[in-house]
Amino acid sequence: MTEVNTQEQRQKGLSQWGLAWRRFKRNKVAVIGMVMVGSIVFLAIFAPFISPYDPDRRWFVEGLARTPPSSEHLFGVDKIGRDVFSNIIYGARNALFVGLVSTAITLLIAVPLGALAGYIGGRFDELAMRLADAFIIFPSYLLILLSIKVFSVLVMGFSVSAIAVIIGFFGWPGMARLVRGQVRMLKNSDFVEGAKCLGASRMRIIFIHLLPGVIPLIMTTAMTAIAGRIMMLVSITFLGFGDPTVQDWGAMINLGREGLLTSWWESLFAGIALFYTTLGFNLTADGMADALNPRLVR
Amino acid sequence: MGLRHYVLRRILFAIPTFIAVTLIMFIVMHAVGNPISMILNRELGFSTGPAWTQAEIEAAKAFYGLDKPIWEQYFISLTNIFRGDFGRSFYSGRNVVDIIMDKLPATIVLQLASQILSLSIAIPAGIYAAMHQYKKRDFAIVTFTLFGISFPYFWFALLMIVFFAGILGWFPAVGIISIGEPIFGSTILDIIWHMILPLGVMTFSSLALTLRVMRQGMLEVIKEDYVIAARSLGLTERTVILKHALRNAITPIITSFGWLLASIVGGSAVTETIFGWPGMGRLFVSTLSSMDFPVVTGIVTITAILILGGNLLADILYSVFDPRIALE
Repeated sequence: MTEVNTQEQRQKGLSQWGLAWRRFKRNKVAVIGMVMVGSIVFLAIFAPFISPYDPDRRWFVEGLARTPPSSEHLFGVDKIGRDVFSNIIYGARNALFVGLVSTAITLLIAVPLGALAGYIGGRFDELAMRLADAFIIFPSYLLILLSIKVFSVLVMGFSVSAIAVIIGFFGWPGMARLVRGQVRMLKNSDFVEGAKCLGASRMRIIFIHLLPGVIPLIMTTAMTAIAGRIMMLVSITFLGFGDPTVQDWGAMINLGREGLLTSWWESLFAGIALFYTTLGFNLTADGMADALNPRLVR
Repeated sequence: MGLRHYVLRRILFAIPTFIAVTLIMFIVMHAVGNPISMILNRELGFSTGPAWTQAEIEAAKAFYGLDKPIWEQYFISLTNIFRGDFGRSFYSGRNVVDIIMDKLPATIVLQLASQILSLSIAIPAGIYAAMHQYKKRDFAIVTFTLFGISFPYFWFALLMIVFFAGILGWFPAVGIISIGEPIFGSTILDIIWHMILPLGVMTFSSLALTLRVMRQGMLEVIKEDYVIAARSLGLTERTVILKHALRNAITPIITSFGWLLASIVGGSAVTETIFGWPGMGRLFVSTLSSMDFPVVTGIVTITAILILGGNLLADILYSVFDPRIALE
């Protein structure tokens, strides 16, 4: 029975993705990165079941505030009487939400724009890339902070979604350039010529024939982007422009920063959580880049 | 002829970028509705007089020029910028340009120092890593850059303060200069002493990225035909790398300079706030928190000008390194 199974597999062979997955699995560091990402996603999804306490519950009445880690409060209690461990777990939700949504928004703008610019070329390409050039040297961080203050804080009364949209919007030029470059490289391939001869429409060629070839690059870049956006989000909330009612690592680091010498648990664990998450995404991205691009042998 | 023409063209290209920055800022500021409500809210916080009547609000709008059609307001603000007039602070009423000019030197000193330090580590280390690809040394450097990119620099800053200022007491935690007598009897030494921690953090945050770019550039260049040709001529490895390869490997760093500069300026807002460094970044965060919008928009505009200027300089440098560019 097993004989037949292996026989069958051998005949079927492995798809491109299967081959990439095999190369990825061989890369120990990359697998560790993926496990790190997986564990954070797990924590975020099952936060209500994993978190020992309600993250908003204050323990002042029980006489607990700024108390060091103990068996009841694994990461201690912060200066406003909240359980740090529960807040870290719920904080993963906020970080992942903004990281994923903002990257999705970047892709939504950049992929169609980059693909069209790369394929059509000419005036449209010129204009789109000029715009990207202009955007890339924007003082984006300052404009992001300003937009967050105006939209997320003043207009919408602290909106995490608005933060995600703003961060995502300012990230489009780099991604659009990458997609454009890749599409330009592929558009003179024989398979595109073939599709043209069969009468495929321009849109069909771009989105059905060309984009799949760009997906590996998009995936790798998106992973790095998620790490970068999470870092950016936490730096923004650290500066105090986040939603104060949402559990957030940046707010925790900020809250505990004066007490770092004495009550180090208040901000140390939040920093470790952030580092763990960004490192996980970056290691995975590195492994993916190697696995999906066999020409770039390491 | 080629070079002057090229520089002129780069300057012309910088103008649309600048207009785009100011336009986006203008749109953001007006998305809230008429900014007069922000100004009045600000003032209402201080005065206990009778509520504003409609006639007073209209008069206030006219006073601040906010009654004109929106495109005209933008045009006026743009011409004001070109005339060097950025308005006045909501709070102190001081000229925005004066406020910013007070803070600019501290930012520029820190930025320049960290840029120079970061490049002078990243370039040799990148070359070294590329030359020893697949070896343990390269692996160590690559691992370092991966950690460096993933490590939250603002958290790193806090740890540095705790360790070097708190536990060891070697450096001051915040500020740019000692209160009272300068340490070591010299103002410059005192400033350097205060600068070491923020400088370390800023260098660390840009080093990893620059190093990666440099290593990648070198790896691509050493496969090129002219490097192989240089080697086959029997030149020493040193000459091949430093004379033939480096010149071309360094171009990605120069071309990404504008983008790098923009991202570092952003990071300075956080670093300066943590270290109480009296620069433009900290001013931005504090004025944004207190909604002193004329100062905020002034800082973004001046930062955009600085980045464009830095980028222009990089472009010119690039065309000196690689004369083909100017001829294109």
